[in-house]
Amino acid sequence: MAWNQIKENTYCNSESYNGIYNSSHVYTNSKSMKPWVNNTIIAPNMIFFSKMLKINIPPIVLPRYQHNRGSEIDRRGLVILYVNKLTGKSSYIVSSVQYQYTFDYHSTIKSYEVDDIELINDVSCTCMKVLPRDIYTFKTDFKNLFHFSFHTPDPTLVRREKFRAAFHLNIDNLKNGVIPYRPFVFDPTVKAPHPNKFLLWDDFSGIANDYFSTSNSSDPNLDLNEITMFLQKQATPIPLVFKTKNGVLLNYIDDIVKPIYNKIVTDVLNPLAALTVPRIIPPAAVNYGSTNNFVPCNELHDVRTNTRRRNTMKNNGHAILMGGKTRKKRYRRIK
Amino acid sequence: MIQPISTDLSMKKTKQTRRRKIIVPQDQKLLEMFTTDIDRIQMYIDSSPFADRMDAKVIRDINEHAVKMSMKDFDDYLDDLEYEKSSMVAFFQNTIDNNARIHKIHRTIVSGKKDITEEDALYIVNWETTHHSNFRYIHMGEDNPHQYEFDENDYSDSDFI
Repeated sequence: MAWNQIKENTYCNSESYNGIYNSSHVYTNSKSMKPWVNNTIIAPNMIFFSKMLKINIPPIVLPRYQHNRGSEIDRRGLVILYVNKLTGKSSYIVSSVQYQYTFDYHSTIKSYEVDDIELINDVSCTCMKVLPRDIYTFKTDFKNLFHFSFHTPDPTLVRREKFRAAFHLNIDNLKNGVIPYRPFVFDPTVKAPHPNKFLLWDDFSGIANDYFSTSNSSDPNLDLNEITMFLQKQATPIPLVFKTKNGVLLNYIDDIVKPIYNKIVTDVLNPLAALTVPRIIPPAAVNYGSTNNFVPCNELHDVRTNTRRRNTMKNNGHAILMGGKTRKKRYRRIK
Repeated sequence: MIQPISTDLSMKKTKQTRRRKIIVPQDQKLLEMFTTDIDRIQMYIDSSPFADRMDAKVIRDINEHAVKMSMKDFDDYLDDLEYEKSSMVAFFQNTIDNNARIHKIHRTIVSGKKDITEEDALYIVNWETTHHSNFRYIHMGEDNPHQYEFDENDYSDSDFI
């Protein structure tokens, strides 16, 4: 996996916020988002999810749709949950949007009983009913649509395994060989004494473009699964944009994933950053250039205070994303 | 009432005691995971190498809610429990399920020596969420745990673009 400046910026930024991790805070605040996620994102968009995943919602609601896919007949009973789990005293917190569904399965070579477990299309499924004519009703285990992951630094991992950052989003159901991600990034432009904050979704196409993400696809060798580049380079396994009867376009990324990401920034991570005293100074970030060379993490820290190094980088064509200390105004004494 | 449960002849040796691993037939696993019989709960706990992580009364209270509650309500209920209590659910359920991967994850968590991997964290989350849903479906007849309100007329039959 080729390394590049965007991955280095993300890894380095992530290492700088390692010190603020507080599992209790993240767990409590992400759990408190649950009613908002259920009422604002999941419930109003069940038809969207149903059509995107090709799974009927409870059949009494939409009887005229029947979804078959491969060996799965009449995919139905779609359930979507926002789940938060703390696994281990101080390790992972996972906030995931998961789904589960039921389908009928025709099998002549193997018979099943209720409670039997079978791997069908790479998913563990449990037999729920035995029907006539070798038909069985199965229910899938819960699968992730997407998940947010928060964890403590793992010093045993090398930096090449940390390109998604310690806090990140993975959009699991868009997996196409690789899983697209979006990191949570400590905003390097915040100037002291303002409290630290994390970048919002749209910042990745704004101030952070070419630093933590890029829409510049001119480099064919750019190995990046960050969601912006992923969507440009890969055909997604499912369609993402749905047009409602009123002509409104619903977009999986913009209307489902992005609002939850931003809510986590404002309700979970920014309050977490504000708790940390003294505040952490995140490293600068250097723009992506289509070259194999990259500015390493130690220099990204160094460049904040080392004016000479900063000027050298600029002279070499780098753009640098960073804040600085707010200078106190000096008033000349008037005699 | 669930009847006899066979036991594995291979003895599990721990530091304190030799525990007899209980093998639960597949078609009884969900019922046993959500049993409210405190003697059975205690029997399972005693068979687990993670017995000190579980409290039979807490498990019984949780399971009494699980039997009565829809999947969604039970999930909300678990959210409100203290971590020490809600974490017992996975330890208890795997005492019955004997899932080797979950056992390994639990060993890692208990040892505290290193972090579990992200894949393991996701695996245990999905594994745990599934049980109550399946239990409600098979044994409580809960076919449709969620009702969503929406206006079907907002959507056309057109597909995604």
